[in-house]
Order: sequence, then C-alpha cells, then structure tokens
Amino acid sequence: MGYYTQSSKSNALTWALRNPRSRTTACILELNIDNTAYNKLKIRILDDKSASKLRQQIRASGMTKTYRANVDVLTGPLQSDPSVEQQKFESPASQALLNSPLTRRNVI
Amino acid sequence: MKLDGIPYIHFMVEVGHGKNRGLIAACEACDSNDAPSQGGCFAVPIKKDDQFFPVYRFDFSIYKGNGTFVEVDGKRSTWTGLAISVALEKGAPEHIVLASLASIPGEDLTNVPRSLLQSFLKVNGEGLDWPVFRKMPRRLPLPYIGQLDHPDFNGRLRELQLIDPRSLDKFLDTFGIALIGCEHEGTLVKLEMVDA
Repeated sequence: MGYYTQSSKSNALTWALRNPRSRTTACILELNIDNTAYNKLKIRILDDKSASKLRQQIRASGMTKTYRANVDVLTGPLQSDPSVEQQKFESPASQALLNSPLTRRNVI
Repeated sequence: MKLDGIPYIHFMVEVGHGKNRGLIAACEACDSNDAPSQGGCFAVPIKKDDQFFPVYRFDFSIYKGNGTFVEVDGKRSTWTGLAISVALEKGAPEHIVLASLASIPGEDLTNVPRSLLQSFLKVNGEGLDWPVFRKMPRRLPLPYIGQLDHPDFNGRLRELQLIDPRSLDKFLDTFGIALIGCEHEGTLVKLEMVDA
C-alpha cells in the first residue's frame, strides 16, 4: 500500500497506458518536492541487493499488495528495471507532504 | 516476413519467486496479488538458442502533454513501428534498436537489406539517438505465466534494458512518442464458458 512514483516518465506513461484502470486517462504527473521537507521524512533507501532480498521476502509471505516498511518513504531500484528509481510514499506524513504547498504538482 | 508474423515488444512485469518466477503482461498486473504496484519493463520473445528474432514490432501513441494524445475519431491513435536486432559493434552481443516508426501493413520485409537499415540508424553518428535495448543483465529467460493467449507467449521471453536509461524519456520529450508495447495483447483473453 502506498503512493508510487518513479524517475522515468516514459516508463510511467507506458505503465499508465497498459493499466486497464488508467489507459483512457493516462498522463504524467510531475512532482517537485522541497528537499528540506523531504529529508525530514523517515526514508529507507534500498540498493539492488537489499531490494531483491526484501522483494523475495514479501513475495514468499504473500504480502505483495499489503506490505509496509514502517517508514515514510521507501526508495530503491524498480524491480523490472534497476536503472529506474522508484519511490513508495506510505505514511500519512508523506501523503501530507505530497499534498502540501511544498510539493509542486504538474501534469506534463 | 509479413507484419502480421512479426513478434512484438511487450511491456511486462516479473512475478513469482524461486522456480515459479515468470512474466505477466503489465495489463494483468493491477489485478495480480503477486505483482508489484508500479512499473514494468519491455520484454521480447526469443528464439530457442536465446537469440533475438531479426525484427520486432511495437505499438506507440503520440503524447501531446497534459494528458492528451493525438486522436482519430475522438480516440487515442495507435501506430505500429518496427525494431531490428543488430550487433552495434563487431562481436558485440545483439541489441534491439527502434528502427522505424511508420506502419507498413502487409509490407514484405524480407528484401530490406540489413546494412541499409543499420546505416539509416546512424546510432554512433550524427543521426538521431534511437533507443537501443540489450538483454537485461543478470537475468535468465523467463516463461510467460499469465492468463492471456498470445502467440509470443508460447516460448520464453527476455527482459530488456535501455543502454541509455534516458533515451525513451528523450524520445518522449522530442517526439511525444509513448511506447506501448503490444496494444492488443489484453484483448486476447481466453474465453471461459459461463452459465447463462
């Protein structure tokens, strides 16, 4: 559970176009978050190795759709393409930041 | 080789773990309890010797920005492009290059010289930086384990990675080209009998 973002806008748009829930409304939402506010959040950064290990644990436990890391933001390589960075905002604090004036939200 | 017989570049998601790992189409992922919630990669069917097929096709749309696309009759238009597999340097592993963005229905591609296509690309010259894919490092071919019925899903598939991770973003910025993969794979769902 959480709000997912990623560093590749082309990958994000393709994902939206292939998702039956969003294929007719696909667009790219660009988020520019204030660095100071972002760094106040509890952030867990995963590298390739730790992301792979966590992924296996989550899959083995059947918690793919429900797992929470008990942080504000979990960030690491996109499973399907490690060259893309993905962020998962999973706490009320991170949600508040995304919806605050400290985050510029533009459909591009 | 007719367009209808050319395998697709697909947009897919890896699911499962251990010996049960496999790929499903991204259009299936949102309903899968095993799939990650966001993101995928392009993948292609391969020959039995793990080599790429000579030519692949892909569907794309033109993104105009602000959630709008080039439309025909009020619907987002989709075109079919072609990609070829080439060795960009002598002795190098094969790569897949997006080569043509024109739809060529029924065109016989057998007689198109590979050298002509490669010179047209000018990958290392002054031409356009065409997106170039390679096999995803440290990944083995995977089977398709979803529920769709598509001829490309009968054998194993290779996940792809862009050599320049930003090249598709640049393509999107410059031309508005949004790669879809195979637009119609999701319409080929196996039919099941139900009680009337």
